[in-house]
Amino acid sequence: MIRQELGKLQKPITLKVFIDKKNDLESKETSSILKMYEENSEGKLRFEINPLNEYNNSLYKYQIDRVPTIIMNDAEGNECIRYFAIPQGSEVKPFIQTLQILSGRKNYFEEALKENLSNIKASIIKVMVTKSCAYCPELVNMVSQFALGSSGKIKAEIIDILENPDIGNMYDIVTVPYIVINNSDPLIGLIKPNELLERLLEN
Amino acid sequence: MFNIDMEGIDLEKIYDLIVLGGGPTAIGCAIYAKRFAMEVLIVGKTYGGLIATTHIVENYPAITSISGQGLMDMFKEHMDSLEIPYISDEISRITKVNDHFELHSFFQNFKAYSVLIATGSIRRKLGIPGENEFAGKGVSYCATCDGPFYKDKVVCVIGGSDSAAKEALFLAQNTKKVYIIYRGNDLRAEPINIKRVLESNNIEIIYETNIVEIIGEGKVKSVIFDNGEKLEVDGVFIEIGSIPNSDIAKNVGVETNEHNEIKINRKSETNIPGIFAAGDVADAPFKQAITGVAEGVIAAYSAFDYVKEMNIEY
Repeated sequence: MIRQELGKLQKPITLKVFIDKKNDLESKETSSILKMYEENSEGKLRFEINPLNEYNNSLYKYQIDRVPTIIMNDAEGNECIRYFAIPQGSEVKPFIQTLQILSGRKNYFEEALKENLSNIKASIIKVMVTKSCAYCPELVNMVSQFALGSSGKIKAEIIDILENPDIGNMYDIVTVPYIVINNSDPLIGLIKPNELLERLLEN
Repeated sequence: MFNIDMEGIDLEKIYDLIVLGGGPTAIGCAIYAKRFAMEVLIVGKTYGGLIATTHIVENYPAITSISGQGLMDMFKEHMDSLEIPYISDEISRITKVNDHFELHSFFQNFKAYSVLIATGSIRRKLGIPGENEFAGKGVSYCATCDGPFYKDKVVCVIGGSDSAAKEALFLAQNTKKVYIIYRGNDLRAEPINIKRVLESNNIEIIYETNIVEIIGEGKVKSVIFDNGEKLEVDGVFIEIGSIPNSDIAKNVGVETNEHNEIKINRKSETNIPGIFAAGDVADAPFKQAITGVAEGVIAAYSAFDYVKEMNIEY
């Protein structure tokens, strides 16, 4: 299924990945999963792996405060999505669908976003998920499409809170999906795309 | 994997059939419609429907045991093999225009000669003080989503259905203790699941009891029973059934019954020619994935006949 879906990538894409060089086990596991994605993409997907150590300038340049982190830039080079975990389990589907749009497939929400872009202020949308959450993939997909269609105005952060428990604790989360936009009141559960757009227009 | 972008979607085209919904009923119908060479599109708000939140399904024939999500992945694979387009959006209004229907969402408009409403149902709420206040802060409607946050904690499941029993069994795997709080005196679950509940060493059933309030400070701390007693819990999982998601039907004049279920006949037809309904949103007596799929398939046959009789020239 992964090969079939990655086969739908249109133009080649490269993602930046930051991993922990000191933690050999995690580093090897991460590299092995990323390799699997690359090998199934017929050369269309490439990960630029950046092993981090305390002397690495990338830490500062890309403001990396945790690993692994995957960064996606849109066609204009704007950073639009960060994954704070390597997509596994139910996170694989929205990750690949985001790659498909990143590689040129048409974004369902782009038209409406462009119409409203002048009224949306620069926003960071944090989407808290877990691998077993049935509603999360659809929400991740939606927010990712919003980010990709916003010409850099919207940045999405996809956070697996079981992999990043400090973030879950910071927001005191006991339910997913859980969305925070610009640190305002959270949106809980599977929200509709028009609700997300309305919230962005309010912010 | 489902298509969620605009690839393969033609907004100018009048589809033979647009299926509203993202669960097994919707996909079952679309698979048959596609095999009838109908131009079919699915527009679903929640891919997978409620069954995707079920941690284990053991009564879908030919599949011994699978997670709800796993079952829907198989549906997806089948749907994708037929290249059936799927859009993740919610249709808010249907209007009849000449010989076809127009379906409006906040983002796009679609056209179809026939429509299947398979929008399923949404979780029923208790409607007691504290439920809304602590939603997402200890009150949950999805054990597979939120269960992992309650490792070694004490939770309660409200309800006595098969779904409630299965939620309790799932939660019991990681929590310290699960209370099932049920207003009746005998669980309505499948006997196999009742047996599992009774054999579990960390599930306790409290019969003939309602909870009247959920109390906490920032997070859930306890529930109050109708006899005045208090039970300290960290989480409250509400599993008291669901209500049909039929608003879209009512807006276009489709008849519903006193339970808000869409009235259908044995051909899955509603009172409006060209609009069909099936699954949990319809007034069929059994609300199971397998019966929903069957009703969806019947709707596909009926929609095919309906469109064929229109003698459309493409």
